[in-house]
Amino acid sequence: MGTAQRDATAKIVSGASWGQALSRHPGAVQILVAFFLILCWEAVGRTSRFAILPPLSGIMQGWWNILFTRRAAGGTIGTLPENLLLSGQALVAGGGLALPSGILLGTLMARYRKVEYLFDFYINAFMSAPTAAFIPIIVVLFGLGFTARVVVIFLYSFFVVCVNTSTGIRHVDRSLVEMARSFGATERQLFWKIMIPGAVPLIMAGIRLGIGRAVKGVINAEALFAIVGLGGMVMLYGNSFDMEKLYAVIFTIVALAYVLMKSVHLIEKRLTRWQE
Amino acid sequence: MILLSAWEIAGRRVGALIFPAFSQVLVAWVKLSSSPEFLKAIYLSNEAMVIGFLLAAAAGIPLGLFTGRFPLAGRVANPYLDIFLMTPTVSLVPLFIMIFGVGLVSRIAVVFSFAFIFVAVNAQAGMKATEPSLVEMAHSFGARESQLFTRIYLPSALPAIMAGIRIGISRAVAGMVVAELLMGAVGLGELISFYGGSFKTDYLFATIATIVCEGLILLHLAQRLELRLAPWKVSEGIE
Amino acid sequence: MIDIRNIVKLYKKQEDGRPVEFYALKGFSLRIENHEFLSIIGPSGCGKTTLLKMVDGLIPWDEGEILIDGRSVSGPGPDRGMVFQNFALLPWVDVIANVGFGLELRGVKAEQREAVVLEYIRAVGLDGFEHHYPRQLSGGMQQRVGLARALAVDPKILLLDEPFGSVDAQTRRLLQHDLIRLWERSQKTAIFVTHDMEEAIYLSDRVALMRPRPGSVQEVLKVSLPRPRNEEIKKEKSFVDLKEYLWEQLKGMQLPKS
Repeated sequence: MGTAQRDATAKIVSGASWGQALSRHPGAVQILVAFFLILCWEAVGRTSRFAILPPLSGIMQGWWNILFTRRAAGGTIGTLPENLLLSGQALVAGGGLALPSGILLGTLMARYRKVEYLFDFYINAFMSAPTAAFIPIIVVLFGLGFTARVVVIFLYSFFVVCVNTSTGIRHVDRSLVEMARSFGATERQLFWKIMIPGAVPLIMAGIRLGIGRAVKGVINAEALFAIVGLGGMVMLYGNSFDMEKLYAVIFTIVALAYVLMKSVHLIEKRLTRWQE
Repeated sequence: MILLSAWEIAGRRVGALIFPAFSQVLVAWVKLSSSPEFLKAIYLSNEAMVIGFLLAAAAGIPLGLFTGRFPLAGRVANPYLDIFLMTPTVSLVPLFIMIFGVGLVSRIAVVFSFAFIFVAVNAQAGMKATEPSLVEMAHSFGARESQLFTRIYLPSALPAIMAGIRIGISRAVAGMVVAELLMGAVGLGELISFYGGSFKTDYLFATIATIVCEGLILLHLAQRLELRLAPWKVSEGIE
Repeated sequence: MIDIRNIVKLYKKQEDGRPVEFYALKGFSLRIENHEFLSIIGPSGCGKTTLLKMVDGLIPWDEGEILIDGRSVSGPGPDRGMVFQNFALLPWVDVIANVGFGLELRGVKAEQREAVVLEYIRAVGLDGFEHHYPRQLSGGMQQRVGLARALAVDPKILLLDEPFGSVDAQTRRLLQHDLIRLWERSQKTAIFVTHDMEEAIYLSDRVALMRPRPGSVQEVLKVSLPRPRNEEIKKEKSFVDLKEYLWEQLKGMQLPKS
């Protein structure tokens, strides 16, 4: 090998081993990157003149602040815990309606062809359309209060749950159905002992997605017309350029969504432990 | 059919101010489609939507492909992507208003943020789902990285990428609507606020119906494109 | 006694936009005596699984009859139990629940099921694995569960659809050995579908050779080897000759993939 080739090979080898060394400790890299980003954020926040990006420390202060104070200037809105409760109530009401009814309709649609024919078109239409577009109609029909928010949340999450449920039931392994038939299962037994247990993974996925959509729904509703709760805080602090508090609220919303989704995910994993 | 007649009856009974009958909405729609302001509104709204979506695709697909191809990059990026996926994007809108004001750029930013994450996440999933045995096979025949990418990874990920585009388009339309509802100065969203505020509910419904139809048409087109480009598999897609 | 007479099964499907009809089975006739172990062997796609499922009452036929002890088959029944090629175990419950599934469907209460289920789990050699889940079991073990499940309902007739097709050759031998032992003790009638000539001869009293397109019985051969069978038999001249004969017949029947 000539010197040029040897150098080239050496470069490739050392470059490759660098990459390999990094890959061996993915956790470390993650932490490093996160740390680096936090540092950047802090630096940019403190030094730059853009008010848009406050330093992380400022945001933490803002977060502490809204935990207790009620904003007075530009409009009152409660403390963070109060608004968390407000949003949470709507979320629970809307989700509590949407999840069971979504599963119910999904099950009916999978079981009875007539039901499927009746609803299929509308469900698909609602799934594909931008749900936000329907919010003005909801306002016209239900006003600006709690009911309207619940309806919005329902609309956001119902369809995803329904579709996942019906797909899950319909896509159960056919050979299991055949096997149960050969052992003399009745239609009812087939449904309850094969279809439903087999559909649990997808139903749980639907619930997880539904909750994610519900959170989007409640924030959308609050930001777009109700101006209460967490979404309302976003609007208020945004309009008054109170960046630190705004970011603090956004972080809280993200944390809320994260906690909810993770919990459902954990339940999901527990229920589907039998999967490979 | 049943629904439409129910709509008609309900509308006549409840009163046009709250719930217009189907026939009234139809009439309003016809009037609207011939008015130049309406057409201008459609154009303005979609301007933001199209540009925003194209940017989201241009940024999201490469990011998704990169983080899917290189597991380390994926592991580093995924927490942030997941967070983005879970954030109700509307809460970011005030930030955009702050940075970009209330104009076209701002609306493009909103559309971008609605669509970007879904395009990226689906592209990543497509890359990650590439059959390892196919990669091994190509390696054993001496394929270079670029060949691996174009002949194995990319075609394998194509159904998922298309699914991401399909979902991204839906999200982009949603973003367009939310942006205008919040910033309201122009476009269909502004019309919605106007009609809603002045209780011209038949025009309101007609405008909303237009948006919904547009969403459905775009979705249909996206699905047809999906079938043409990647007919061997229709991906469920991450929503 | 199972009497299959002149079964005809017609399939209609679309091929390149044109409707196409083909006979999966035509003029299929076969008689299976009580307590006998009969294998049906044929090339892939000849319809042997279809036939077996008809006997189990899972698939209808277009012409002909299937009579079990004089009564026509109209659906699945407690007199027949099937073992499936891809195991068909419920992945979300454990071995005990899987073996007891047939009994559970019949309304047998859990306490009564338990004794029977445990007995058959032991019989197939899976004691110690009662609370395992299918995904924790190897292919061979999963099929043992399938076998125990079919035996647990104590059917008069055992139907086996290429039960060892999805496991490796070594496991297959072990399973064959265990199957023979279990069958010899139980004296059930068994219909065993396979494409493996050695397996067919080793296990059976008679071998029905099927021809494809349309599927029908070409020949039924008697296996005169003594019971109880053991591995040594595979080296006997009569065994080898029979195997070669079957292969000669099957060789000529091989179909390209339709």
